[in-house]
Amino acid sequence: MIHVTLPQLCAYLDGELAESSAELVRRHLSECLECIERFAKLEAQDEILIRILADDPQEEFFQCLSASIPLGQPASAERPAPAEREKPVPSHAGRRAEDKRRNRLGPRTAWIAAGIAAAICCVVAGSAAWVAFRPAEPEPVAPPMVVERQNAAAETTPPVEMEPLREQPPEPLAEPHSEQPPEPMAEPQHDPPEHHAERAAQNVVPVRTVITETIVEPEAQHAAPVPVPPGAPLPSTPSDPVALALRDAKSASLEAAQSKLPASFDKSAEAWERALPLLENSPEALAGGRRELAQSRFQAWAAEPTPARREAAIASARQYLLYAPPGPDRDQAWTWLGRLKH
Amino acid sequence: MSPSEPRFIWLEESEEKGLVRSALQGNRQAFLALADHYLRPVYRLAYALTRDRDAAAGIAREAFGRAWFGLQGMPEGKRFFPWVLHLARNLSVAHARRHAGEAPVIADVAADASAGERADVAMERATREALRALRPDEQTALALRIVERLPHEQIGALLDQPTVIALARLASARGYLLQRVNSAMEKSEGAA
Repeated sequence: MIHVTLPQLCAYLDGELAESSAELVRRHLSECLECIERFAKLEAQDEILIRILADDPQEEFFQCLSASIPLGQPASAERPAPAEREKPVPSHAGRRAEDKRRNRLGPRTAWIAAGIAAAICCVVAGSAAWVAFRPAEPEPVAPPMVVERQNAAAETTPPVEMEPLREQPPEPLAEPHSEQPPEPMAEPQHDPPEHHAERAAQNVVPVRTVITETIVEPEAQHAAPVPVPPGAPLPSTPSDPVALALRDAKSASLEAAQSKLPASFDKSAEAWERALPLLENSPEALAGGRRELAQSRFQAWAAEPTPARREAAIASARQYLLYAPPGPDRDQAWTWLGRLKH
Repeated sequence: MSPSEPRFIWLEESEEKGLVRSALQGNRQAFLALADHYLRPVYRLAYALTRDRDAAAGIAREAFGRAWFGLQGMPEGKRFFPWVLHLARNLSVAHARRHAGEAPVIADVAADASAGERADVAMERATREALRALRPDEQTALALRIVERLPHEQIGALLDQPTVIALARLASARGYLLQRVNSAMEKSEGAA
C-alpha cells in the first residue's frame, strides 16, 4: 500500500489540499491504520505546540510595549537618493547606534588580526622548536650541520609539513555536504551579525547521521590502500550482529564509492537494507542507515538509470525523508527526489 | 474570527505605503500607526522563537526601533511587515543562540499528578527540547502556521520562499518533532 507522505498529511492537516486531493487523503486515512495514527499524532502535536508557542498578553501589555519603542530623532527627512543613502547623516541617537556598531566591529577586527598573528607566531616557533629538539635521526648524518641548515630554513620559510607523512584517508563515501543553498530571503542590509549567526546556526545539523560519521572518521581502520571487500572478515570482527551488519554495509558502500559501478551501488543498497532492521533501537543510526540506503539507490540509478532502480530510489528517498532530521542531508535527499521524479 | 482564520490582517498596501512615506519624512505618528498594527504578530513570532515573554518584548521593541532608524534601508517595493518581521526573527535567533545552553523553563509536575498529567508534562518537555534543534526557518514557518494560522502561501511570501518550500519546511519540522518526541517518550517509558 502506498502511504500518504508527511507533506501531504501536513497540507491536509492545514486545510491546504485541493478538494480532490483531500478526498484521496481522507479515503486513504479511512483504510490505513498506520497513516491515521500518524495523522492523530500530528494533530496532538499541534495542540501541544499551540500551548508552547503562543502567548497572548493583555491589551495593556501591547500599549506599554508600543509606548516604549525607542523612537529618537528621525533618521532623515526624506528618502535620499541611492548615492546619498550610502552615507546617511544620522541623528544623535542614530550616531550613537552607529558608534556602537563600529565599536562592535572594531574589536572584532582587532581580535581576528591578533589571532592570525598569534597563529603565525605559533607555527614559526613550533616548527623551529620541532626541528631543534626532535630526536636524532637513525641515519648517521652529521647532526650539527643538519640542525643548522634546518634552523636556517625554519627562519626563512616555515616548513609546510610538520607531521610525518600519513596515508591519504580513504575517499569519503558520503557526498561532501555542500554549503547550505543561498537563502533567498533578502536580508536587511544593516543587520549582518544576526544573519551570520543564523547562517552558523543553520549549518549546525542537530542530529548527524552516525553512519556517515563513522565512515569518514576512523582513518586508522581504513589506512590500508586496498579497501576491505564487503564480505571479508575484518581484523577485529565484533560478535555483535548489529556491528557486523553495519560493517558489511559500510564496506559495501566504500567499495561502491571507489568502483562507481551501478552493480556495486546496488550491492551497497542491499547491504544497507539488511542492516536497517537491526538498527531499530537506535533512531540516529536508523536515520543514517536510511540515508545511506537512499544515497546508494540514487547513485545506482544515476550510474545506470533503469525504471526498477528509479522506483527503488524514490521509495528509499521517501522512506528517509519521512523521519529525517532537518539539515543538509535532508535537503540533499529532496534534491535526489526531485531529480528522480523529472 | 474562526479558529482557522489568520490572526492578523495586512494593512492595505496603499495605506501602508503612505504611512512608510510619511515615516520617512520623520512623521512619528505614521510610524507608530505602522508599529501599532504589526506589533502583535511581531511580538508573537518573537515569543514563539524564544518562549520568553520578556525577551520577546525586548526583541519586538528593538525590531521596531531598528526599523525606525533604518527605514531608509528598507528595500524599495518591499512590504513593511515582512521586513520588520525579518528583523525580529534575526534578533530572536541571536537571542536563542546566546541562551542555547540554558535549560527550558518547565513547570514541575505536582506530586499528586495523574499518570496522564505526567505524560503530558513529559511530552511538553520533549517538544520544547526538540524545538530548539529546529532550524530558524523551520521554527519561523512553524510559528507562522501554528500561532498566526497563516496559509502556506503567506508563510512562503513572508519567508521570501515559494509556497512549496514553506510546506517542506513545515513538514520537515513537524516530522522531526514527532520523531524526537516519540523517541524521548519511549526512552522515558523504558526508564519508568
